[in-house]
Amino acid sequence: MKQNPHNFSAWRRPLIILFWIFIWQLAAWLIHNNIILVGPADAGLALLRLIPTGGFWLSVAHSFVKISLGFLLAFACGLALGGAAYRFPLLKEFLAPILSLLKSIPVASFVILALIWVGSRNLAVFIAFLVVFPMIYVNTIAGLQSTDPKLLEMAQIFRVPAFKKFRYIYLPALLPYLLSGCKVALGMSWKSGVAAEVIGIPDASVGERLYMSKIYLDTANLFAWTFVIIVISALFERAFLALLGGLQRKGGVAHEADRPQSA
Amino acid sequence: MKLTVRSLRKSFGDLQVLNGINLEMESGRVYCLMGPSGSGKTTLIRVLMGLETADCGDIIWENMVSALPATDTATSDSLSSDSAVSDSVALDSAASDSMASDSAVSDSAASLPVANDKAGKGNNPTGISPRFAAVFQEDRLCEAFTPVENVMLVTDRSLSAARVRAELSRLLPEESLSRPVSTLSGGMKRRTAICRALLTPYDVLFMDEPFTGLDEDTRQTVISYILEKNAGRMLLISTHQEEDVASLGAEMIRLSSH
Repeated sequence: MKQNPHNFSAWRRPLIILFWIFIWQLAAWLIHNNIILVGPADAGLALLRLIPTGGFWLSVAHSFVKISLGFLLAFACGLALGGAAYRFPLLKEFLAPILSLLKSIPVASFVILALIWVGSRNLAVFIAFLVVFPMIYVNTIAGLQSTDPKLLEMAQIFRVPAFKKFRYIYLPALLPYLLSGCKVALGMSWKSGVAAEVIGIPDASVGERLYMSKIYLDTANLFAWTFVIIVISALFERAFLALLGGLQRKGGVAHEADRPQSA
Repeated sequence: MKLTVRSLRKSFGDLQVLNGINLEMESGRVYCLMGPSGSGKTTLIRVLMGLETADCGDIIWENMVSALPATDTATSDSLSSDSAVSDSVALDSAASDSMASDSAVSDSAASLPVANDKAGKGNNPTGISPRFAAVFQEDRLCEAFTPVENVMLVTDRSLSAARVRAELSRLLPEESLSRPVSTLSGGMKRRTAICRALLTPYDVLFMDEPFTGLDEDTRQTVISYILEKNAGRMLLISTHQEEDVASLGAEMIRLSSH
């Protein structure tokens, strides 16, 4: 009897993950040193010990708020300035050196500067902003530039108002670029934000917890916190991308529903 | 309203596309623009709409009865009873830097470069300009949106979604009206583009090969719909089919190849 190929593909991914977890556990058994490498079982136990504590949730909330705030501010500014730079090429030229600088300066240099300028309290906001802003800005310009000029000509002839032009012509062109930019930027904001916290050690942050794990050579806690960062980052990414992805169709339906239904 | 085109020339680099075009058109009449491929039909339409700058020549709109002042984009119906009337508007297509020495220049008092007239809206001294609608050679639809949404993109708020749906259902199957345009056939997209042009307020309608991809029955249905909706306004259709001239009751304007 033939095996259903759909059943196999459904199980393939979990099986592959299980395989690598087994390899990880095997390596931990072979090395047999909890400072160098802990296995998934020990990391899981460390996580279970962390979850019921108030400090865990406080640290998660602190880092989530700061890094998300930095991301959202960068998203808003990148979108606004990218749109303005598309409209006014002189502004794009004017901002080009700043963008090159932001993209090439190492995050560690920014972190040290930020510690001097804004202190450790809002360090993650600042660093997440600096890392995300160039990505959103560049993708906004690229998305707007990819707008079909033939559709813009059509809008010109039919005298389509600016708001409708944005919703029906610019937004569908912009969204794929924005989505792809956000996919990278969301992950980068968490990586750079937590790295900044490890250097700046703000109170009650995930970065501080990672730093403590390093000080006490507590590899199990390090793995547990790393897992937490991955989960929060993935959840935030999924929620934000779902919101962006739903924007285009929602806009179109709302437009039709806005109109009076009588002929 | 009357349109007079005199000695219109347009070239792209060394390629002379329009070579001294002269024509006259009036509101309430249908004109079929015919000619072999490459004879400049699309270029002429684009120049008349203001999407291309002519090298020289005149485009003159006279006795204009327009739906709205040039600055107003929200009109409910073209040719409304309170419409403004201007005596004569002359749009001289010879931009200052491209005025050829051998060009035929209009002696009209009010002359403006066509390039500055954004789709008939712009530096018009009377404050009135013809409002255009178009069916382009390509459909130029927003692919992610439904036919209803595509039409409502260009219509004003006085036209309800139900009315747009009813009009579209005269040309398209009902079930296609709620699907994204990207999922429709070529013929359905064409009919959506035609409906979009006819339901927007306009004074002059340009259609560039609108019947491409339509079978004979659909073609006749579409022609009837065009004639019904266009009533009283100026219509210029470019086509390769001689029988369209008779079906539309149109006057023929023939462009020769170069």
